[in-house]
Amino acid sequence: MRPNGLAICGVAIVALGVPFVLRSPHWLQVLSLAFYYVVLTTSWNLMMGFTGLFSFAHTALAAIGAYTAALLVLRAGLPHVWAIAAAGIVTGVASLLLGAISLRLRGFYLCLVTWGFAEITIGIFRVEYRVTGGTMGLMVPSLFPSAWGKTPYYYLGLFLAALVLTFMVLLSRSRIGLYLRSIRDDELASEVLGVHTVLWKVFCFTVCGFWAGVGGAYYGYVVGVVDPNMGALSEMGKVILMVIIGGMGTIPGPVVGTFLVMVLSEFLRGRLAAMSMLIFAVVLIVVMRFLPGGIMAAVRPLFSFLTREKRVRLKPEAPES
Amino acid sequence: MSPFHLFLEILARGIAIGAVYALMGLGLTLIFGVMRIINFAQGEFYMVGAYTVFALMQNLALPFYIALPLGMGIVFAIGWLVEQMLLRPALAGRIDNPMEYSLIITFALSILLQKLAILVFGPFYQKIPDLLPGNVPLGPVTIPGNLLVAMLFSAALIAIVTLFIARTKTGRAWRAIAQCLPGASITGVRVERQGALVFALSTALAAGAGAVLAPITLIFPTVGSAPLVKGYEIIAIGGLGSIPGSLLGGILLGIAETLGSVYLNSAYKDVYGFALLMLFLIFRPRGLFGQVS
Repeated sequence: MRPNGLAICGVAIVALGVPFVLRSPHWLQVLSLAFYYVVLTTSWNLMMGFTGLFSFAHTALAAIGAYTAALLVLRAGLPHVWAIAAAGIVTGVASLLLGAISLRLRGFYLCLVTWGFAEITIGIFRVEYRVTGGTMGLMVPSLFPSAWGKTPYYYLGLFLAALVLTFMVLLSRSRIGLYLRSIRDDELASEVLGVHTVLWKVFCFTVCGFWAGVGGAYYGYVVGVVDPNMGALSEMGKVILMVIIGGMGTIPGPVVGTFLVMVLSEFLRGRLAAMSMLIFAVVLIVVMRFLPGGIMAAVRPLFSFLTREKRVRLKPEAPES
Repeated sequence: MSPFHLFLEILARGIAIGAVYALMGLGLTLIFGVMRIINFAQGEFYMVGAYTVFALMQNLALPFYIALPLGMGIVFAIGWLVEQMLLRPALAGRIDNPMEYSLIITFALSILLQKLAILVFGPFYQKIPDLLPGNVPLGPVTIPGNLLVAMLFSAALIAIVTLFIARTKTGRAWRAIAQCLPGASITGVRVERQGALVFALSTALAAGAGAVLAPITLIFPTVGSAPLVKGYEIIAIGGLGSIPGSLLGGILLGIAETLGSVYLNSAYKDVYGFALLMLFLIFRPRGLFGQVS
C-alpha cells in the first residue's frame, strides 16, 4: 500500500498548506463548503455505496443538525463545541428513528419514505417560524473572532473531513464494513449467514445521521445562516451528483467528486452561472450511462499499474512445470 | 352558504383535481408495472408538455385543441428517445441494479430538463388562454370551467388507456410483462419494444395533464415538481403497479388535499400528503390495491 500512503501524505500536505498559498477569502469559503459536502457525500456513500440504502433524507438530516446547533447556541447559550456534538447526536437519533421505521423497505420504497421524511422536516422548519425563523432561517453566531478570517473554518472543515474519512477507512476494513457490503449485495443471503442485518442497517442509519448532523452544524458556522433550503431536494441532487461522478462505493470517490464539482462550478460561475447544474446533469447522465464506476473506475487501471509490482510479489511462486 | 354546501363545493373540486392527479398516477403506474423502473422525471415531462403546447399556440397560432394532441405527440417522441438512449440498458438487464440506475438517471434528467426550460423560456410564468372562462353550474355546485375541462379530458384519457390495456393485443402484452417478464418474453412479447412504448405513452399522458392544467397552474420551469410528488403519493396510496389503485388514490388525494387545506392548518398542506405517503409505505406497503409480492 505504499503508493496509497504516499498519496495520502501528499494530499495532507497540500491541504494543510492551502491557506498559506491561497489568500483569497472567497476560495477559502468555497473549500470550506467543499469540506461540508465531503462529510455529506462520504456518509451518504456509506449508506448508498456500501450498504445499498437509497436515502433522499441526507441533506434534511444535515439541516436538522444545523438547526440543532444554531438553536442550542442561540437559545440555550451552549458552548459551540457542545452544540456541534449535540447536533451530531440529535441527528443521529432522528436518523435512527427513520431507519427503524423503514427497516423493511428497500430500493424505491425506501427512497420514497426518506423523501417524505425530508419534505416533512423541511416543511416543519418552514412553518414553525417562531422557533426556526421560517424561510428566512436563523443567523448563526460566529464560531471564531471575525478578525481571524476564513482560515480557522477551513482547518475545522479539514479536520472534520479527515475524521469522517478515517472513520470510513477503519469501518470499511473492519468486520462491520463487510457486514454492510454483504447487506448491499444480498440481504437475504447475509442474513442466512448470520449477519444481524436489522442491527447493522440501523447502525448505518445512525452513524450516517450523526455525520450529516455534524456536517450540518459546521455548514451553519461557515455560511452564518441556516435556512430550510439546505435540506431541499436540489441539495440532495448535488450530493448524489458528487458521489456518482467520483465513484460510488469507493472511499476516495466522493471526495474527488466533491472537489471536482465545487471547483468546476466556481469556474463556471462567471458566464455560465445558471447553467452549471445543466452541465452537471449532463455529466451525471453520461457517467451513469457510460462510466458506471465514476472517476475512480476510470483511474483504477492507472492505480493498478502503480501497484502492479507489489501484486506480483504477493502471489505465491508457481513451481516451474 | 351553508357548511354542507361549502363541503359539497370543496368535494367537487377535490374530485376534479383528483382526476388529473390520477392521470399522472396512471403514467407512473404503467412505467413501474411494466418496466419495473422508476421515472423521477415524470414531472418534467408534465412541464415539457405544458411548454410545448404553449409554444405551439404562441408561435404557430394553433388553437388549443389542435396544439394539445400535437404537443402530446411531440412528448411521446421525446419519451421514446429518452427510453432508447438512457433507460434501455436497465430494461435489457445490462445493469446490476436497474431500479437504482433508473432512479439516478431520471433524477439527473429532471434537473437537465428544468434547466433547459429556464434556458429556452426563461424563469417567468407563462399563461395560456382560459379553456372555459368563468364558473360552470353543475347541479348543486359550481366548478371553475378550466378545472371542468381538465377533469373531463383526464377522465376521457384514463378511460381510453384502461380500455386499451384491457382490450387490445398490445395491452395484453403489457399485462403479461407486468405479471411475469420471462414468461411474456418466452411467449413472444418483444419486451424491449413494449417497454419503449409504455414509457413514451406515460410521458405523453403526463404532458397532456400538464397542458390541460396550464390555465390553472400557469407554466414555469419547476411546475412539474408538485404533480410528480402527487403522482408518487397516489401510487403509494393505491399500491405500486395497480391501475385501479392509482385512479382511486388520485381521487382520494384530491379530496383529502382540498378538504385538508380548508379545515386544517393550510401552512402544512404539502406535509399532509407526505405524511400519508410515509404512513402507507410503512404500515401498508402494498397500498389499497397492490398485490402481495
